[in-house]
Amino acid sequence: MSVFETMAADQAEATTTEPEAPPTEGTPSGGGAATPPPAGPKDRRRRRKVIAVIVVLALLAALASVAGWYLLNRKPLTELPGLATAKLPHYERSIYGVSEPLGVAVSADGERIYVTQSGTDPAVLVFDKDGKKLGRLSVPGQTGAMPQPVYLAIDPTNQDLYVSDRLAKVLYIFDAKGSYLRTFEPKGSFDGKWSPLALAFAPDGTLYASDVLSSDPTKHRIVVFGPDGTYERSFGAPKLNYPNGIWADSQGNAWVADSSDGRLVVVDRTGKSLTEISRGMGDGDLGMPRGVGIDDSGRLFIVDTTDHMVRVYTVGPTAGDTPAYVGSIGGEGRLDGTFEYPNGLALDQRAHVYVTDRENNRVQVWGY
Amino acid sequence: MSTATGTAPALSDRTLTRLLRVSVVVLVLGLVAFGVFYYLDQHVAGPPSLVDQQITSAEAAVRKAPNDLDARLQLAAVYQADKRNADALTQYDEILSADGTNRLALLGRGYVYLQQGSLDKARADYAAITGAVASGEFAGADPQLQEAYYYLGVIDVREKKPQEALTQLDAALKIEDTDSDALYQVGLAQLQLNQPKLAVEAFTKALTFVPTGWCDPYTQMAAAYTTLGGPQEASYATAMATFCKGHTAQAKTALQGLTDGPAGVDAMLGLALIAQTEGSTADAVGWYKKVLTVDHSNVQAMSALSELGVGPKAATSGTAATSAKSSSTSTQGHQ
Repeated sequence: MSVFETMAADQAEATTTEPEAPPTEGTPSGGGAATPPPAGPKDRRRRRKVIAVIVVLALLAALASVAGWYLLNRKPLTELPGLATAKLPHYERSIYGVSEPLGVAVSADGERIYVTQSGTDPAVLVFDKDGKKLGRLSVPGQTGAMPQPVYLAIDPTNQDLYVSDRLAKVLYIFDAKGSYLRTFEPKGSFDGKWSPLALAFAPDGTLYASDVLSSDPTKHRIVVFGPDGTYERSFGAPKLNYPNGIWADSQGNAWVADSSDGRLVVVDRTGKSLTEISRGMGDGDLGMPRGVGIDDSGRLFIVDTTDHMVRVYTVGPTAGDTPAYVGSIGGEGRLDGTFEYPNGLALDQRAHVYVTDRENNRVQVWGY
Repeated sequence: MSTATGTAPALSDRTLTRLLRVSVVVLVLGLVAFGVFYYLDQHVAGPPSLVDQQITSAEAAVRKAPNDLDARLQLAAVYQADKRNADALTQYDEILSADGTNRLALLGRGYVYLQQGSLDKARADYAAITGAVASGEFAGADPQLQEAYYYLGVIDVREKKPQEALTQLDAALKIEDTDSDALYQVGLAQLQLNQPKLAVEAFTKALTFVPTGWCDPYTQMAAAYTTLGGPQEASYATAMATFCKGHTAQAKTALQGLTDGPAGVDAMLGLALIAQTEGSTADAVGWYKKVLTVDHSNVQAMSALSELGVGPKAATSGTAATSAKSSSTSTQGHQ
């Protein structure tokens, strides 16, 4: 018998067993200004039970809401809506087995982590979320090796992985399973001469890549390709000097780590500079920014390689608002939670921050 | 049907009780199930830390070759990095029982004792080094001997024996005269000797080598200037300590208010240094040139300008230009 059947049976039982109370003397039975008799202990007990049931049912509803939110988002409960977002992540774990890592990319669910290693054995390594090495990506026809893979980005529309090779001057494309597909062939009016470095995808699949081909750093630029690979535009506003990190938002704004100028500059789709975070010694000022990313809670993370830390800000309602500094994580060292020349950065959708800790030969995972 | 209050009960008492029980059970089971699922979904067992991995490999090396002193030194060093001082001491003791003159072990054990506050034991280890090699052929260029002298000086400063500290620190500085840590300790010893002027000299020299990111010398310098009765100089040192702690705007405001007083040159040098660390080379050059208008032979300003690519001729002509410009700006401002 279900709860509701039990309730119905009980209700019927109550109807038959509880006789209708006769109207008391002097009290009009037809209603009106009848004064209810004082509640007895039985009524009080019943009222308490009703309240208890309501409380327990409310708790059940709250639990169901939280569980539903969790199943949809799979984020820690500290990220529940309504809680403060302007906070710093904490160290969770490290992934070892990589030599001098530079770039990192992670699948949205955090299950696959791709890392470029530099040094004597340049490669793209693949790890699972536990840090277990799954293998390395290889390019057919090049004895499997890539001359100098640096940064990576995952196309959000099809999960293809793009890898920049500055020395080979190409972008390699792999599918979500790690199989090599092709090199990126720009369409349209792109001149084809470039040396790609930083990579980022906008949510619609628009690709942003920094080009550091010129020996004159003032000619470094960001090149933008549409979702089908057609060249759209390039900009270097007002000048860029080895841009090592890009983040692209859905409004066509690019957040560029202008590394050797020691600043982060936000540029709109017309190439106009909207705001920047500059080099300096004050709170939130930068040294040499590299990896950059904004999570879905509006937190901006910038890897400051020479200061051995990751700086955290919250972004404003518009891209032109100067981000508010929250604080920094890390500091120089070899212990857990400290860095030696951190470089690349990636974010998954479960509130994790992945940072390549180059000289400590590891990728650190931070979370909320 | 009606109750005594005249309203019909939607649920009987018994149903309410059952509903309550069932709801509580569902709530508890739901909480437990969600808790377990949440833990399993969120928890990732990370690998051991870098230091733990180094300890594991160093321990394996010692197990493989227990008589290998280098392996034990390595193990002691990683124990120290992991703040396992007792384990580090055990290893150093083992090494020193086999080779009582092992200087690396003496230095390492001395440092552990120093951290533990066992100053007498630390002193004995450092003194064993200075006693053995102070007059050796390479004593004048021996970095381990220099380190031993330095820590003996630190111990004397801690024990408030400034005269003895100065002797040890002088010996350390004879080997490495640019050791800013030793110079800072000299300053502390001079303060203990109530020689604030000499203390300021020592702190200034220490800061020549490490002008940014080291706050203690500025703080102590402020104390020394206060003892000397130089409030503006003390304000300069305090402002630099403020800058060192990351409050740049506050420091700049304080220094700008000092540029016309007795601490003017120091304040302008401080402003130039801040501009330099902020990447504002033009501002830095401007402040250094202003220093030269007041103090034509200021070595610090000249060498900084030289580092910034401004030659002596340009610096001099720029001085006149900057001076004229600033006077013109000032005039405009007054108009």
